[in-house]
Amino acid sequence: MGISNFIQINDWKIKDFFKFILIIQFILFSTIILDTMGLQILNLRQFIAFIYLAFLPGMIILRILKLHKLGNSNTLLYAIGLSILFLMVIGFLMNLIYPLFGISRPISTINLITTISIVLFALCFLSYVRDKDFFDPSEIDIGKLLSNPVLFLYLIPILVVNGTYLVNFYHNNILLMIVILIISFIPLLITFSKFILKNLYPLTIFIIALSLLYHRTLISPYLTGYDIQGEYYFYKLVEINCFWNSSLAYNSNSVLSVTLFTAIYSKLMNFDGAFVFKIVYPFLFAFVPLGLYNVFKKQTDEKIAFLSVFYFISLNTFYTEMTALGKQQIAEIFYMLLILTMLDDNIDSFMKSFFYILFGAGLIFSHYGISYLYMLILIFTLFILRFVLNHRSNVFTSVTVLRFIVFGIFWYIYNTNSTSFVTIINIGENIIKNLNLLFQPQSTSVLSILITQSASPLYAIFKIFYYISQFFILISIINLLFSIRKGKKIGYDNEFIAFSITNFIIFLIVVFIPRFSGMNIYRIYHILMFFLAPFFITGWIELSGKVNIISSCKINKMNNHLKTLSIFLTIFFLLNSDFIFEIANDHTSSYSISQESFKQRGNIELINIYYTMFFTDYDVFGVRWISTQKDNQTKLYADFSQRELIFTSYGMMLDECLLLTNTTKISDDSYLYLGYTNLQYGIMNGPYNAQTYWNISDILPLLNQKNKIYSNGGSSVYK
Amino acid sequence: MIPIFKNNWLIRSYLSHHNISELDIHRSILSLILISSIICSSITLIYFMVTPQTGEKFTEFYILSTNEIASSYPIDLRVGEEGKLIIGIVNHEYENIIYYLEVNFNGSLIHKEYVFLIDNEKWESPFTFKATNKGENQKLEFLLYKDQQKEVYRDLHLWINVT
Repeated sequence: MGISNFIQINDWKIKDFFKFILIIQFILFSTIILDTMGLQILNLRQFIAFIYLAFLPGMIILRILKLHKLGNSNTLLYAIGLSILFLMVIGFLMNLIYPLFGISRPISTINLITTISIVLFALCFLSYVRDKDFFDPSEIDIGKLLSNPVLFLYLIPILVVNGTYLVNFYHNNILLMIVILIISFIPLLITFSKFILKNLYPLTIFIIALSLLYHRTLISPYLTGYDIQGEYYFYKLVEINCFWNSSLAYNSNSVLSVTLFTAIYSKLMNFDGAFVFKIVYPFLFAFVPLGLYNVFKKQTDEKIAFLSVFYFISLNTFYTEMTALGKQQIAEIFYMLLILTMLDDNIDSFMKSFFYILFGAGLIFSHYGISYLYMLILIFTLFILRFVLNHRSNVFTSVTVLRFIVFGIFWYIYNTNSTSFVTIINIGENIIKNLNLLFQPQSTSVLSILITQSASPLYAIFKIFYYISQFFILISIINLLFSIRKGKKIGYDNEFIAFSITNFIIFLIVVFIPRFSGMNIYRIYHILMFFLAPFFITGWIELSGKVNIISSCKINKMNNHLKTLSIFLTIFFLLNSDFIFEIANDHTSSYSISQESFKQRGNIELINIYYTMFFTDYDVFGVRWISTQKDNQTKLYADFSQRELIFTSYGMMLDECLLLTNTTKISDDSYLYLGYTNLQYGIMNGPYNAQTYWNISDILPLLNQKNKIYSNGGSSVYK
Repeated sequence: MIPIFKNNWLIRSYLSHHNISELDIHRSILSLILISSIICSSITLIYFMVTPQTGEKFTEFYILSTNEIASSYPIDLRVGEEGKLIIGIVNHEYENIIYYLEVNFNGSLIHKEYVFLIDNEKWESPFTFKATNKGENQKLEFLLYKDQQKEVYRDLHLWINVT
């Protein structure tokens, strides 16, 4: 038995398509009206608003562009990318134009819902004019939707959400540990059995990605991580003022992905931005591995593509650091879409060029860092494509590259007093200044990681696993270069080869050139894997094949190589997710599964780092109290991480709070904030960075002289 | 063959009569396990979502000046002059609490009262005290007790200079 394919609604009869949009629109209006009357039906408004914002604009645009029969995953991917871009552009134009007509608060809920609805109706009309005759709906087999492998996959994210509840409220990590173990066995299921068939690989990848992201973001009701605190601050400014002030000279304020975009979701879903960052962003970001699977599948085959993406997801940057980088999550969606567009045979070259402009703009609107890196990649790639591979691409031309660079530089100079543009100039200046440190191990983060002694033997093994994977990437790329030199036929698209070589060159640059980028090495490595991940798998297969020939072994079938590889990936994932570290009671850093270990071990250095990013209720309430009650003329002091993080997000005080160290001269009248770690463990974070700390006893004489004006048991304010 | 079916002639003949293979039975059992797991997990999830979860239990205790900001406290007074401020309590204990508030000035009890707050309730009350003795750094101490416990639950203080 089949049901209409609700994923590819752009292939439905136009009448049914409009009916669907009208129903969603009607329910959204109703829930908003009910909300204003104080009546809430569970989380219906949040769910409908999410569908409305995340998919509908993109689906209508696909229809206008007469793009059909793209397949489930590509339809979803393009629709999501177009929807994100649509919301950013609509928000930007409203913010620009409405004030000219005397509307001082353009980004209010009523303005947003009215404008978006009118524009969507206009787009619907356009789609009717252009595409009214097309209909070729496909069906989804309910039997397949309820098959055992699919049921197994559905279970994983449900268990993850339950697991995070258990950690948050019952301090028990058992369910999350079980889910991590289940996920680690999936590569084995793929290579050793036929339980999960190839047609389910895309769903499997999406489920794994989403589960890993949620296993991190749903821990704690508060935002965790560094950059996201600043992002929350700028989103909150838009949310409070209903206006995006593009003249505030901060990098995070120069991008639409964490200002207007977040505010639109927050207002229409009636959700605080913290939950938009914790629930909506990971959901959208989980489509990145899915897009990469489609890219890799075209270059290799389903199994290699699956294992490549599993390697990409396994690198813990994907589900740890990335969850604290809202702008990079959105930027990577566009980055993935640019790659997908370039290599997608289902769309013609005109549409590819058009998408290239759209998604390129989306990337620029989303994140300056990735945009600059992409500019560099484009220049290298164009050179390799022309002069090494002697290939002229229809889509990827010097005009494409120039257009992206010019638009990008224009956007970053025009916005936020050119702060993002200045950042890249400073990075360039830094690189040139530090070129004399070339090849010196201490000067680059990669080489210093190589020579730094590991924290434990298990951690040393973990590092070896990384080196092994990098070794296979190196082997595969060298093999590729030899094949090109010998003029051998290679299965990859020329554009993919050129991009991969460029990414490998950047990898070498990062290793040897000091302070190459504003991002840390883990973030750069994660980005480079957008192209290099499959080379780990192919390198493994190529080398295993050669070893088999040397040892005259008869098991030189590719499947056997993939089986051994899947065992490697399982262990690699368990190490990355901190599962093995937690079991071995070793150096763990996972907030999701190791909270109790952190506390029980009582290692003060770990405690210092743990509470840097993990906020308690005591801290959030204390910070909110002082930020709303303080006299604005009086100085406020807090320790390093509190000043940098919690005061920025939950205190809405960017750079206003001053750094408290054991040598700071504090004026008599100023406020002094002490948080949970200060009071509970007697340590003050800083003074140089979040990894350092000093003892609260250094300021006890000062505290004894001050008035104590606030206390909640876990934080205090002195004046 | 699943062990319990292995020696059962009746079951074996039924299965072969209806063309049901061993694999089908395995699949059905797995389906049953998976469906029941999903149902159980979903019910648990709904339970978690609809049941209010308790986070950290605590009480906020603070003092403000009469213009409702954390500044301009009456810390410089003359003998006989009255100092005015606001005392605030917010209950985040996830239960109703009877608080006992005590204010000492220079070690002498000058005010006491019981405050009953339901969960999430905020209480703010103006408070006046009189400077009677000359002297620097006289401690005005605010002590909060919870549910008739003997030890102080929260404490605040101001250093008062009386001229």
